Amino acid sequence: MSNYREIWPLAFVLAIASGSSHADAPVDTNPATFFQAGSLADALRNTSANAGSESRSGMNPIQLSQWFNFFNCFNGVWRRC
Amino acid sequence: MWRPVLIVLQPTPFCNINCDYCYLRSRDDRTIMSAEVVGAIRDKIFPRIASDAAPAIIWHAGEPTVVPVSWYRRTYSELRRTAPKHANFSLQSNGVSLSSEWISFARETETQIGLSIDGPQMFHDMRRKTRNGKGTWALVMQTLLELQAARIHPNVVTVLHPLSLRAADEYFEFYRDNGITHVSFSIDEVEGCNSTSAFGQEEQRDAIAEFLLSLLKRAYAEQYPLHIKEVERIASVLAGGELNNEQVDAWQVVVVAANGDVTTFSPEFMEVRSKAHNNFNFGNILRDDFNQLFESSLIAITQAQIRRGVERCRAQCRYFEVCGGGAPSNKMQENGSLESSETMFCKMSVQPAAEALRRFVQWGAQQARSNYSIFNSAIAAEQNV
Repeated sequence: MSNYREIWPLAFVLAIASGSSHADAPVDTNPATFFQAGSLADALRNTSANAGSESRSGMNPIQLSQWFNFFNCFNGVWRRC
Repeated sequence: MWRPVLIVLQPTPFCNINCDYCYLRSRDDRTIMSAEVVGAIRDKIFPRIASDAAPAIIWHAGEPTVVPVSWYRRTYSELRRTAPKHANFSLQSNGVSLSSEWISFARETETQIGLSIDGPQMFHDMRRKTRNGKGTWALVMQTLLELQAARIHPNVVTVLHPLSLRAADEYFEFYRDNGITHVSFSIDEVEGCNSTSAFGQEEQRDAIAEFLLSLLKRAYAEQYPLHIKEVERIASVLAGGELNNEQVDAWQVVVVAANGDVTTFSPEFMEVRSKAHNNFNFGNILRDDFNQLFESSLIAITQAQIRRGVERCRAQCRYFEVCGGGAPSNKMQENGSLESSETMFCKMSVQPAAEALRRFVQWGAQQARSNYSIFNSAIAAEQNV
């Protein structure tokens, strides 16, 4: 599963939400909190720091945000490619 | 220096198929972008861009592969003289005429390919048809196989139909069984010459969110890396990435039509009619100087109206921080005003993707609680024995 978390980052997010990744801060899915920019950043940062010994996911916050959506022709809001 | 993020180039308005929901008005027009227009892109656009910028340059808005590969060979050699070093080229194709010559060219030039496939055959053939009215699924799937054999893995754009929403498992299995890992979803919006949507006025946001959520759950259960562009873009913002809605600031996007006409903000502005905005035709690359285009009063007026629309979104919409103000072309086309807020694009694309992600994370937390509760019950049962 740890390999899957690296190729499909949403599995990593799910691991944080499920508490199986030693996250210090639980993820708040209340819409008012969840939809704030950066709402997952702390949990991801803490988890990736803690996970260093059990996976290769020891990455910094900038890499975390770039981790998603790495392959599409264009990563913006426009949806026709 | 100028840092556009998206440059859409239209090699031809012509398209060799006839989808029911097509929004392009000029898809019968066989004009091919002239050497003069290519030269003007090379001399007037690219030299203004910061050398370390990395714009996506996309051949689009018509079927790019109906133009011969020899045209692209000449054009690339011209454009690469001044294109930013980190620019990446891609094209969006219907996959009907993407020949082996095209595949070799894409490999040589590292041109990324996107295919339009509306999922399983029944859904695709229902609306993506040849000019004789036959389905195009078999043709595009053959192209997909040929691309994969050449180790090119295209991202796929899927336009959903209301019937799709009851078939999430079929869609997941279609992507999984055909090795498709990167998908972008949209709906047939009221845009350009497409005056109706299969989604009508009915609020189907929740059904789309559930459809996306079902795909995510299946992907997770089977450990299949299905990347859904709309969901991952939002995840990236929540993870601390920068939110950049490229459509709300002038010249982050630049579109050059085959005849040299130029627009910015939403690429679909090329198809939107508005007398007050000169149909969003901000100039022509053969005729106009780019400094004048940048500073034109029409651009300033349009920008001010779009900003007011963005502020309305900021004040009214709980998804603003993951969206940044919607798509101006949809606001104009659906609401008749750039200063408006919610559109079908919001309700059927951004909001369902955001909700699917939130529910997916919520589901993860519930799974953990239920596993914990099962674990506790097992321990209690053991103690009772």
